[in-house]
Amino acid sequence: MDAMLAAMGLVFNVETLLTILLASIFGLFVGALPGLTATMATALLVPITFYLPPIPAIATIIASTAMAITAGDLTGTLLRIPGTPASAAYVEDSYRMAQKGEAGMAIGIGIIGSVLGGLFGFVVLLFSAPALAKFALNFSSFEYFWLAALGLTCAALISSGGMAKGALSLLLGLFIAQIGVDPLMGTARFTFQVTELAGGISFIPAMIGMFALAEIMRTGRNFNVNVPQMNIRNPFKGVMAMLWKYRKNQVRGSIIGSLLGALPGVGGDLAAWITYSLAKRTSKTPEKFGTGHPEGLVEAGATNNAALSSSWIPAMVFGIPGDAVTAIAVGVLVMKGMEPGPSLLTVNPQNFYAVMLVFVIANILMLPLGWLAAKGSRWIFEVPRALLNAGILLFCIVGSFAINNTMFGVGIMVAMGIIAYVLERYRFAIAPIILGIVLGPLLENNFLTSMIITNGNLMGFFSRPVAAFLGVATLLIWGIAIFGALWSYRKTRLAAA
Amino acid sequence: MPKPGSRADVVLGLIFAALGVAVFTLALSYRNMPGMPVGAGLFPRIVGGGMVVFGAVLALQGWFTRPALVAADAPAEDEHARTGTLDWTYVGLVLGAIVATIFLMPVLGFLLTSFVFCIFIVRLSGGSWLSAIIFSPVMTYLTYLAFYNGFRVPLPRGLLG
Amino acid sequence: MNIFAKAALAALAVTISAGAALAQYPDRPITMIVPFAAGGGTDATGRIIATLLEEKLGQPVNVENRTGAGGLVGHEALKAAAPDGYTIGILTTELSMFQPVGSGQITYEDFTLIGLYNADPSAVYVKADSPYQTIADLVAAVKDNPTPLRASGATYGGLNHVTWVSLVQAVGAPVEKAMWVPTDGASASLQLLASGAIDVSVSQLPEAQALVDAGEIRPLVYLGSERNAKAADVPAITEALGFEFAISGWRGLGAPKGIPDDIRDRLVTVFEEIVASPQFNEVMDGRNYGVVFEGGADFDAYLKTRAEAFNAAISSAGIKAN
Repeated sequence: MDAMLAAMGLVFNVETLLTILLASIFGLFVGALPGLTATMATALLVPITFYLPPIPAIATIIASTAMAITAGDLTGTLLRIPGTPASAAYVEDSYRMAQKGEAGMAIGIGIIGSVLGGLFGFVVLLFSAPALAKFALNFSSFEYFWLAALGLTCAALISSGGMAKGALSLLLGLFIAQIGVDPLMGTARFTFQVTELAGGISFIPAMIGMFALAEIMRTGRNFNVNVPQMNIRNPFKGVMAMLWKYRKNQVRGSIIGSLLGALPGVGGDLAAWITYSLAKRTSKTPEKFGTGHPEGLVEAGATNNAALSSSWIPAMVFGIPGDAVTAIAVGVLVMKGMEPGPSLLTVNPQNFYAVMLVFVIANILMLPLGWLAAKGSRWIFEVPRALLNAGILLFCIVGSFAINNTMFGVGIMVAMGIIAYVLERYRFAIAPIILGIVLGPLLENNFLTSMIITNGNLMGFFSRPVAAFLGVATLLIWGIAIFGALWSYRKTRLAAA
Repeated sequence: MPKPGSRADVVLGLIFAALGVAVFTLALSYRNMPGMPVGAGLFPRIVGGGMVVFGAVLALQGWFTRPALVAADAPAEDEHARTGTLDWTYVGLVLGAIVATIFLMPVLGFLLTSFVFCIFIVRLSGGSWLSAIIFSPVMTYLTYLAFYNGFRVPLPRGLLG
Repeated sequence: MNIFAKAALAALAVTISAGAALAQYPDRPITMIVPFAAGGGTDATGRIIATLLEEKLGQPVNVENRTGAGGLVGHEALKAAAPDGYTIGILTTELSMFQPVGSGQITYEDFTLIGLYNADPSAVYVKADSPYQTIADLVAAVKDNPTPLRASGATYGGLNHVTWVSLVQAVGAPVEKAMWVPTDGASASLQLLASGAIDVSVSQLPEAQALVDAGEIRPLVYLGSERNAKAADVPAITEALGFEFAISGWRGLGAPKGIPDDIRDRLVTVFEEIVASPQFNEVMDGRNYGVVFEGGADFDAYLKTRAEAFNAAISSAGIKAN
């Protein structure tokens, strides 16, 4: 308890609170600009943290990432440019809601759902950090492989358009992920001697092209933005009632998010997809998913931020960063003499609790900032469409450029936009392509590493208990899906005959 | 159950299958490292193979449900309402403008290219000259300020650098 | 005005503008290419150097992460940049390996070298409950047959892989039988070691420190010639096995080949001050990175030695990229 009080003293002072506020506003802007990622926000902040005392330094990183990731939902809802791979899971629903005049509701669900999920993640972190970290440490390449396979299975099978199209979308994403020099052996694949292809195709320009550019191509001059919006005075009106209606999804999303988030390298991206598909599977109205239905949004949004909170567990307890953001944060912790590791919990628990408190404050700050952002975003529906189209296209170009600072990214964006337009016209789902690009390396690297460990023996993939469980689950889902498809096909053939 | 079934599915299925064959063939040239049971070519071969299988499935589905073309397209009407018919001139010019930007921006610099690009798109999308002239410099400058000065993205300076 | 006056005037103009160019360098922002992603160790050190350079030179130094192909993309981008002093970049260990491994043709000779700022030997780790208590136990097992020992530490052909084969070779075991499990990074390998899927991991000290503190893994040997102050209980290879070990990771600052001499000298001087500065050392020390400075021609000589050591290890182990 003394440690908690000491932690409060560390956090509740003008300097730290002001830093958190400024970092949150910074994160909001970065997240709302297409092409700028939470990673970029953190990397930009590192030189600043150099001049700050330890707690404010780490607070800037935590607050800005939490805000940047949530703000990615804003552009997804308003312009169909998802900010993170996780928000690509439910962008169809949030964007369609905005097109129906429910932008405030969609953003509200995103923000409040995220806050609740984030706070839930905090509670989990508070009580179970060491145990959860220990559990996560037992995951080897075998478990990671099956987890990635399970996530991709969910994405392919829930997508609209049928199994064959879902699988093809996914395979296309996996293929795109293979372009470049492979990270295990250093073999150049599908690069055709083009140096820039050797670096691979980043998912940011791909995502901007496939969602935003394809949308402009589709709607052309009739891009429908003059949508009368409801609840202009209070954009969050009715959100709590909606969350209560889907409270089961909210709780389940938070739990799964907290558990999966604790696995380094998997984090919120995969978790949001798994819970979105779970929400669709267990929904009474699965056919409404993807048309502006809030149910999946509630669950996946909660998952996203719960996972974000718990992704700090392996980083803080064992110094194993799961992604670029936590890697930067680990660096800042070390630099400030707060070496991650079990001693962070035992020797200096006030520092650990102070970091936890920063989470809570950053999450609560999201409410007023998010409310203002939602209220302010109304103007976007009043801008003449000619100007908006020009602005969006300019952002598409600059955002794609910014990822590697080359025009090559813009070219990728155009190519992906055209592919997505054609595929979507024939009812292929786009989201599995993005997930394939994001998770492709995770799937392949862990597959190859495991194959090398077992010397090519496939049975080795089932030799560890958790891996065996995940593996059997994945294969069962595929089996049921294929059998189901064949069965219903046979039935229609018989009926036709 | 979704209703596949159109000539397009047959064509797209075959395109995917062909891509799968190409991926598989290219992947055969990636050798294993000495002493390794598997190599960089394994996973591309699996993905290529998967594309061939599912591409074939899609093509067959499309082929067998082809007679039901009219019936299958009917329920997708809401989809078409959303999709709308493609405005070829507009899309062509937008894509052309982006491609032109790719080549012009490194030469002319961000400020000039973006200014011209914005005017072009605003006019193309049915905005007035007045709004184009007012909007473009403001949008260009704000973007420059945010990305170049704020986030240190090294946008090309070109002529003005 | 006669022809001589014109010539004199022209000469004067040239002298003034040349002098002005030097006096003014840098008169616009400088770009620093970092060949690895934001968030990694190279990125972190690069950003601190950029911040300090900005203070010293009075112009913004913008960090550009040009990632991919194990650093090849970023190194190639720096090589191809205009040699005007306005593009500089971080060079890393990988530069010593592209040519011997065959993944690229680029070497240290393609750059104007400014200064070395970091050199770090790796260490060898086993899981806490591993049967190997000391490095001698492990060496005995390796000599017996290296194949059943699954070792990992990052990419195939990467620094840690080369370190492992070089170690296997140095103790006199058949190097072609050494078994390497490639992963996409040291953290992934350490996670594999902690989960019990592999037997040995080669990694740098800071990356593994938290897992060591947690009692999940144990260091057996530090591959430097003296013990590291941050891990004083880990024996150095020279005392444990009685031989010197030349393979280690390094990082330095460079520019495209052929930048003006005066600009290079200015950068070398400024960079030496930075590496000696307390701010820089505080950051490097906090992250457990060893600070070593070799400026200009000394850096060339240092990299020449590395090139020979890496070449020898890589060719004898038969590591080749496709």
